[in-house]
Amino acid sequence: MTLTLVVQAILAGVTNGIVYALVGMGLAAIFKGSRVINAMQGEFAVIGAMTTVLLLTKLQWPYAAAIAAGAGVGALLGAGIELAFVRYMMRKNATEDSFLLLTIGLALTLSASVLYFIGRDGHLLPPLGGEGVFLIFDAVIQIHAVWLIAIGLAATLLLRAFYHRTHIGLSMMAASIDADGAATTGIDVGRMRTFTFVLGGLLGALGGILVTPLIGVDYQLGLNLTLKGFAAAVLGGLTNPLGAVIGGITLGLVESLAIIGVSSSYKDVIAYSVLIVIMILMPQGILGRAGRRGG
Amino acid sequence: MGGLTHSNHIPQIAFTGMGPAVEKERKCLAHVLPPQKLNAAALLEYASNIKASKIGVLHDAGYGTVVMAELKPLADKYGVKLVAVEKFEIGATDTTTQAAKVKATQPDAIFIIATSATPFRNIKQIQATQPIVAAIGSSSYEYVNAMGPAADNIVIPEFLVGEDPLPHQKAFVELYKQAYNSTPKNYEAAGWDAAHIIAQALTKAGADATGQKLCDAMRAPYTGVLANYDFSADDMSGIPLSSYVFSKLVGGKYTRLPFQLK
Repeated sequence: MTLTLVVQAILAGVTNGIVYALVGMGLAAIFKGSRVINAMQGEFAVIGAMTTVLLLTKLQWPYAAAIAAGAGVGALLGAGIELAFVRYMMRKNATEDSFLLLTIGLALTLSASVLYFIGRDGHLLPPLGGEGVFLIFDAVIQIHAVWLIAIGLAATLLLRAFYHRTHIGLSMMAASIDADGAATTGIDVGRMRTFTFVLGGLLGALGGILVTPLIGVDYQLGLNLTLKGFAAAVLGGLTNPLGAVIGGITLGLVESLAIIGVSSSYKDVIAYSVLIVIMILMPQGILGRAGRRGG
Repeated sequence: MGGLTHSNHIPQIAFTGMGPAVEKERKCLAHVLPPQKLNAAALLEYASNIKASKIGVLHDAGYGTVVMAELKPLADKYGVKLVAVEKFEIGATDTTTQAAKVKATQPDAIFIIATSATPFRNIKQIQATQPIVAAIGSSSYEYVNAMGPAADNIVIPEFLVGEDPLPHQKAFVELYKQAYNSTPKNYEAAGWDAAHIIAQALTKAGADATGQKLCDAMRAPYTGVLANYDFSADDMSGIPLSSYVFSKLVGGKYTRLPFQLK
């Protein structure tokens, strides 16, 4: 095992970890604001990325505009999901299981829709910084991966600031912690929940757009991202976006170090065994009770 | 499906090579693609040709594992040492670490055996300079598009290079282009052959032939667009190594290599 290989594994682990974290942050944001576990978070990523791909390749939009539009479509999709389905089910006092089933069904529907309307092909987006790379002890990291990590961390800090320093963020937190209490103070709980899904959709779409230059996007990507994002979010403490980042990076590093330390054949066994041990020792997630409170 | 058609003596054509051992008993089940042992041999033939004695392998947990199972025992016969064998799950979004492990062993060539574009992108991203040889399962325009800039300098043992078909393939390629305005690959040629194999069997056995009579008529040599078949062979395809052609992806375009097997 060479230093280059170890550094390469760390770089890959951190990059993948931020990918998981971007999805996990959206999951955490939606759970934080609505107590709904969103099994279609990965589909927000697919829809956002596909929108950007189509605008760029079919309509020749400028890249920045296509990215903004892709993110916007993700946000609108989130709002649409909340208004069309979640709000109705909330009125009917649906249980957590029902919401989970709803989002699983929507995930499958969206995936099938992408397959039907777009097709099976995978698509790439141009990477930020082109095909350039940085070398660290002869290990390679793409410039785009560095941008992805930086934007992911910036998004985390912005999200934290949003929840703690903006009126709407604080209102969303209040509505999620105690809906009745929040309503008595004049907070429109329904609107806050819609904003939660808008935020989740926006984060998901942003994640999809950022990862597409590295891994491509196709109709099947959503489920893979959701599973990893969910693991990252739970590992970090489900309601804390910062927790999703820590959880994602932990998962990414455990996977890549398992590959070089033991064997690629046992990567998943080792990675998920480690996660099980962490969850047994820290059932509230790595950020513990602070994470659950959304701190 | 093979269990049903076998027990009811219904002729069946599979667009795969022979799979589980039980298929050896199914003499009504013809295969228009080669067994994985032959695919493995074709990879090793090319490696031998370019004098690559140390091979690193990156393969997925499905198709790749099946081909690897045949590659390992054949490697010694070709004087090739598998210096790295790294696996990733089907649908993996990243294989960079596995690719880095392969690169670290400094192989003479790298085999990528997968049905996704991900490992190809990752091996290029870490700037591996070794020749890349892919299995036929990766050879489609869908994968080429998904590979993006990584679809370059990749050799693939396959059967049809639509951009430069062999003489006996030209008529099919032209017909396909006229009908669909696109260039055919291996599966399209296999589909064409499948229909004509049944037609030949009906010609031989009679238009009303069904069941075992049709099965028996099918078990004969057939010179196809994709390959030269012999369905009386044990592997129910009879495709010889000499049916392979070798293509090279250059800038996302297939070109046919002059290298051919005897």
